Amino acid sequence: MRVLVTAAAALGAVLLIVPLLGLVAESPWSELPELWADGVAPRALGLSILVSVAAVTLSLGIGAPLAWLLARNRFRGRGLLRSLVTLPMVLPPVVAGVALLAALGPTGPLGRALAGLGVELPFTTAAAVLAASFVSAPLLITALEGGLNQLDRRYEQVAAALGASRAQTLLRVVLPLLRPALLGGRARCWARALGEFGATIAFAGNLRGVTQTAPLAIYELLQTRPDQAFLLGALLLAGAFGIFVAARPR
Amino acid sequence: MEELAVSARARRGDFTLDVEFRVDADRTLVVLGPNGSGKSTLVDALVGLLPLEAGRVVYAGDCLEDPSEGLRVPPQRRPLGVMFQGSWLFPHLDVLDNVAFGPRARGLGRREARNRALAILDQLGLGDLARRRPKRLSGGEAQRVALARALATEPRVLLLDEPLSALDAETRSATRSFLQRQLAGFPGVRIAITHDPAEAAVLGERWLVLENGRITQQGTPGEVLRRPRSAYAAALAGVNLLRATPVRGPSGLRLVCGATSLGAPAVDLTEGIEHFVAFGAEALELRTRPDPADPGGWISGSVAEISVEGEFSSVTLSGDVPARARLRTAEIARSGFRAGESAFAKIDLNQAEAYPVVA
Repeated sequence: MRVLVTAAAALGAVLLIVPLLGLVAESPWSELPELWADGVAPRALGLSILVSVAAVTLSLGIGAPLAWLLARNRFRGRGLLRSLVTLPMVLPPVVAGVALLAALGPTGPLGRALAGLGVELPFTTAAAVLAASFVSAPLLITALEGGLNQLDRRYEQVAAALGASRAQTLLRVVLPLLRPALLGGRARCWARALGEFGATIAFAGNLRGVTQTAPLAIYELLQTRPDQAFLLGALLLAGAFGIFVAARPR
Repeated sequence: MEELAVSARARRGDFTLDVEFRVDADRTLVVLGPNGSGKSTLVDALVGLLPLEAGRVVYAGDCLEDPSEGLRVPPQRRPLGVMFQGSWLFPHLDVLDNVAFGPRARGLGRREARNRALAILDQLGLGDLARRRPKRLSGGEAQRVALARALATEPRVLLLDEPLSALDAETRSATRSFLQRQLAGFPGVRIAITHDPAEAAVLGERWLVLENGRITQQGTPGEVLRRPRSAYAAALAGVNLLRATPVRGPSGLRLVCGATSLGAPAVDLTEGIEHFVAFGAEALELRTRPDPADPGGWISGSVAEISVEGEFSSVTLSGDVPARARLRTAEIARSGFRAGESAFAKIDLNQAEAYPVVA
C-alpha cells in the first residue's frame, strides 16, 4: 500500500515537474538576444505585465465590494449571484471571450450603448484587460469572501467599542486581518490573468503591441519559430514563478 | 449625578432581554447569571451593538439610547470601556498598539496614543509586554492587556464580560486579585458580568441575578445568598429553596408546601402569603423510616440521587419537598439509603430563612 502511494506520488511529481524542466532545458538561451532584438517578445511581455496588473487592479475594484456583499449580507438570490459571478472561473476561456464579444461587440446590447458614446472596446488593449479580468476576478472574489467569512465580527465590534469609525475599522482592523486572503487571492488572480489566452484571442484578437500578450505571442511563434516560442515560454514561466515566490504566505 | 440608569428591552432571535437597574459611580454591579440568561445580550445592548426595542439608557444625565425618541448613540461615541469575553486583542497589532488603538481612534496622534498606552501598561505593571504580539501572551496576560486597552480610552463606565472564564484555575486567582485592585482604583461606574459566584463575591458589593433575560433578584451578596429568590440563586448559595404558605391550624401556625406540612415556623409569619423557605443541607434530617421516638411531622419522599463527596455526602430527596440533605458517608451505608427507595425528612425550621415571595 505504502509502496503504491509513493509510486503514484513520484509519478505525479514527474508529470508536473518534467515539462517545466524540459521547457527550461530545451530553450535555446543563446538566441535570447535575437529574440529580444526582434521586438515581438519584449512587447508581448511588457503588454502581459501591463494587462495582468490592470486586470488585478480592476478585479480588486469590483471584486472586493462583491465579496463584501456576498459575505456580509443575507438577501434573496445571494446563492445565485455567487454562482453567476464565479462562473467565468470555470467557463472554457474561449467561451468567456465569445460571451464578452456577444455583450460588448458592435451588435451586443452593451456594445451598441458604448458605440453611441463613441467607445469601441473589441480588439483594444482595454478589451484584453477586460477579458483577463472577466476570468480572473472570480478567483479574487472567492478568496476574499472566504477570508471575510473566517473573520470574526467580534473584532469589528471591539474596534467600534474602542471608538473606531467604520472607515477606521476597515482600514486598521478588517484589511490587515484579511491580508492573507487578499494576498493569496491576488496572486491567483494575477497568475490567471497572466496566463489568459482563450478569452483574449476571442474578444481582443491577436494584434501585436495592442492585444498580443505573451501567451498569444508564444502561440504565434510556435507556428513559425518553435525555438523562440520555447524561449518566450521559459521567460513567462520564470515570471510566474517569481509571482508565486513573492506572494507566498510568510 | 454620575450614575448609569438602564431600562432595556432588546431581542435577539426568540430571546428577549428585559431589565431595569441603576449603578452609581465608584460602585461595582455584578451581573450574575447562568449560561443563556442574557448576559452577553446585555453587554451588546449596553455597548450599542444591539438596538433596544424599548427603554432608555442614561449616563450622568446624557441619554445614550431611547428608541421612543429615535435616539441611539453609536458604540464609538459611548463613554464605555469594554473587556469582551475572551480578550479579543487584535492579532496583527502588538500589545502597545492594541492599547493605543482606542486613543488613536478617538483622535490622538500616533505618538501621543502610544505614550498614553505605555503609561497605562506601566501603571498596570504590563510595560514589559509592550512589544509582544497577542499570540505570544498567556491567557492571564491577554486579559490584563484587554483591561488596559479598555481603560486607555478613559471610559466613565467599565464593562467586564466574564473576565476570568477563559483562564485556568491557577491563572484565575492571580488575575482575579489583579482585577479586584484595578476595579477598586477605577472611579467610574463598574459592571462585571459572570456566572461564577466566587468571582462575583470578589468583584462586587452589589449583585444582580439575571435569569432568562429577566432580573430575578438584586441585593448585596449576603442578601442574595441568605435569601435567594430563584432555584439558580439557591444553587449559588448551596441551599434548599421551597415555596410554602403559613396556615393557621388547631395546633397553631404551620408552613404548608403543596399538601405537605413542613412544621411550625420559628418566627411569626403573615398567614396566607406565600413565602420562600431557604435552608442549608444540614437543616434537613433524613431517615429511612420516621423516628419512633418522635413519630409526628415526617415528610415522605424518595431518594433521587446519592452523591458521595468524601467524609460527607449529599442525598437528594424528590417528592412533595425536593431538597438536599448532607449526611456522613458512613451513615448513608449504615442506614441503608438507596436511590429510588423511600425516605423521610424533617426540616429544622429554626435554621431556615422564611421570607415573602412577593417582596
